[in-house]
Amino acid sequence: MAMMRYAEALRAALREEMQRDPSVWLMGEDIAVYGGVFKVSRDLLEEFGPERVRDTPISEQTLTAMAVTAAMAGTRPVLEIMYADFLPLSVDALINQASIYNYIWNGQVTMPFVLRTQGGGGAGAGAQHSKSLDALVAHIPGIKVVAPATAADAKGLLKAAIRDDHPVVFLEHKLLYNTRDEVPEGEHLVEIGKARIARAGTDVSIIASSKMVVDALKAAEELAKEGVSVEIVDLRTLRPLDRDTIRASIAKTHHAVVVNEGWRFCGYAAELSATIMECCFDELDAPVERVATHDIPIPYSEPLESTVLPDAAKIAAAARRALA
Amino acid sequence: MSGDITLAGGAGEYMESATVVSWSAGVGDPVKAGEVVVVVETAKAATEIEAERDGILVEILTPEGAEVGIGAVLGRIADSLPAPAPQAAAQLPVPAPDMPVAPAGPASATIAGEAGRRISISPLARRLARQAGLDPAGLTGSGPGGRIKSRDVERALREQGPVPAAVTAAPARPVSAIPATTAAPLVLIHGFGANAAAWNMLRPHLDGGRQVLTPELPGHGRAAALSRPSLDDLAEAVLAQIEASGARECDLVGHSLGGAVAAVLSGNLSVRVRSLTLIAPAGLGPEIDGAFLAGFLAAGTPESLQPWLERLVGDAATLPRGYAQAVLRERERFGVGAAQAELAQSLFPDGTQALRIAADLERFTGPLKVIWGRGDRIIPQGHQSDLPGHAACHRLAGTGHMPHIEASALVARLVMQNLRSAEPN
Repeated sequence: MAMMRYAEALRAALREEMQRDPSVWLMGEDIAVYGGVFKVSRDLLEEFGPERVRDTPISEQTLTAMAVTAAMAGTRPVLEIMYADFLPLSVDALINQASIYNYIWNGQVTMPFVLRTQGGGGAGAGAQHSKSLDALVAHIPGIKVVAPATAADAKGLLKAAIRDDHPVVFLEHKLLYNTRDEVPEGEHLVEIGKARIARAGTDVSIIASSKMVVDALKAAEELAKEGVSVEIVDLRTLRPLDRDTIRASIAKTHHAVVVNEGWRFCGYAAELSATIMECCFDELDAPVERVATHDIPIPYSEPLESTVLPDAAKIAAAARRALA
Repeated sequence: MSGDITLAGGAGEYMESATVVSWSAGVGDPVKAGEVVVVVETAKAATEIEAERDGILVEILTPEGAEVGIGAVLGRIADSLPAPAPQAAAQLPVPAPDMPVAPAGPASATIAGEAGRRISISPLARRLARQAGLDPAGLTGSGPGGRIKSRDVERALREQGPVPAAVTAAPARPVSAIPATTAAPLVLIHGFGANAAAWNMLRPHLDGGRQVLTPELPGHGRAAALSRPSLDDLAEAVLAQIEASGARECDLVGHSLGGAVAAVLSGNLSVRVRSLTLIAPAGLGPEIDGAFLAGFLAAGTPESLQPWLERLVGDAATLPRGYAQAVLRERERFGVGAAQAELAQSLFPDGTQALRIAADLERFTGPLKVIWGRGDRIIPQGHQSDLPGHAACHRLAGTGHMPHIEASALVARLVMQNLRSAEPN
């Protein structure tokens, strides 16, 4: 184990998988010479050369289609889309190519590519660089979507995603890159589709992912002072969803708060809420509480931005409403 | 005809909840359409909510200061005030049936209240009520907007259910109570491995005018467990529950381990104990059925638990149906098994009673009654010979360790006798 930043854990995963499998290669805007805007791929150009670490033009739509065809041709591309805000440009290739080729060609092709991107607000990056579009990609059958909250999971899930024969959208968060925790060295794989209990408790389940897990942990500390025992389910994978872990937690606490940094309306939190209603209705002792971002563009102004985004205080307030 | 006063989302699209600031009308006041009836405040602004129709404000569901969610029903306007009887009935306990029975009809997906009004009840609470055979129409909801939550069902079961099937759902504190007519409540303290529901058979036979408290021993029912508690620790925890009722004096009834707790409490300085009725009390001699303790604690299935439960009573037929399942459900639900094993290790090490109450009883000068079943296989009735001279001893034929269940009417009569002899002349 080593203390590692989230960004370093991602780099370790990329490096280890590239060392392990020569068919793994990287592409994206400013990822090679510059090392990526969040420096995730720093030094990899020097180690693996320009054939395997490629800077590309600013053309996300083309890049994603390239990754799809490169994966069909037998390589394992890892594409970085600089901001999740640009995902809509990739969505056509995801919806009309990556997610369906294996199906319409009767299993004759596999689609082993990873689309890494980062989203989220709280950095004063404005309306064009702060969004969480989890729901946009999690909506697509045939695409796996992961969103790690910790450095250890970032490494383990990225390695698992690169080895997966299906397309995986890998959602990072710009405010997590500098968070640190213990990361296992070497072979460390986290199974896609398995949530984890980030904190065990008995009174209310908070179901979250990515940076919202960090906020939920703060809320849990606050609630503990009031005698409320919070259980936090860190989903880690948004699709396929680990219903078993959610169900087990709610069967214990009977109260649920769902949290997602995406917009509230038709957002990923809505999917969680509906799932809980379907699988755990008779366990619920209160309506599911939903915490999400207000349905407006993310403001640049810090006071406005923090009003719009979910945070620990809003999560704690939702838990109190559930337990009222 | 009636209409709901609701908190609409229009006061701000991103509003998640609001606080009720003030009601402009009281229950029974006439209101007119367009008149402001209630003011709520969000993080951003105060909003006035107007009546949508003429009528009488018949119900305020969210008092001033309450936090309410979007869509919540704040109150109701109707053409006239409802007759008072159904209102009062909703506050009263459900008449206790002899045994909990599953409702005959479909599981009442729509639950209508007294006035045909839909009752707000959580899915979990509805399931628990259905399992216990409770009619939700008789429950009072403590959740937002009067929603019935599981805690409300659990409280009702604790207060009204006559059979330990209610064991699954006895709330911890505050102690249950029926309306008081005297200042001194009758306090019933259950035995090891039981909970407040142990008194459900006895209570219907008690004089209805007395306030009854049924505190729970730590690690039993829903009371928090203590680590390796001493007898004094148990007594202190029970005393805290009695004190919480505001009582200055009380009458104590204790069964088995609860009897020992009652004996210790008899000398406390905070709540004066007027009379003491002990049913097969622990603490009068070293013998206790160690095999029962070990078997009871180790049993993990109704089949393995049932033979041990049968040892509690003289006639197995007097065991309430579903008792074993109820005990196991409580262990599963509230995790009391480990706490009780630890408690047994502390108070009954190696199958021996490591507690003594003889000195406490010697000091107690009020009316003291001890009731024992002649067929008690858990604690030998011979322990009565250690009692002080002022104790009255009752030996019940054909009865085992659970006289309050096996001979509940007789035990209730003896308890009431003891209470009366403690009444000031």
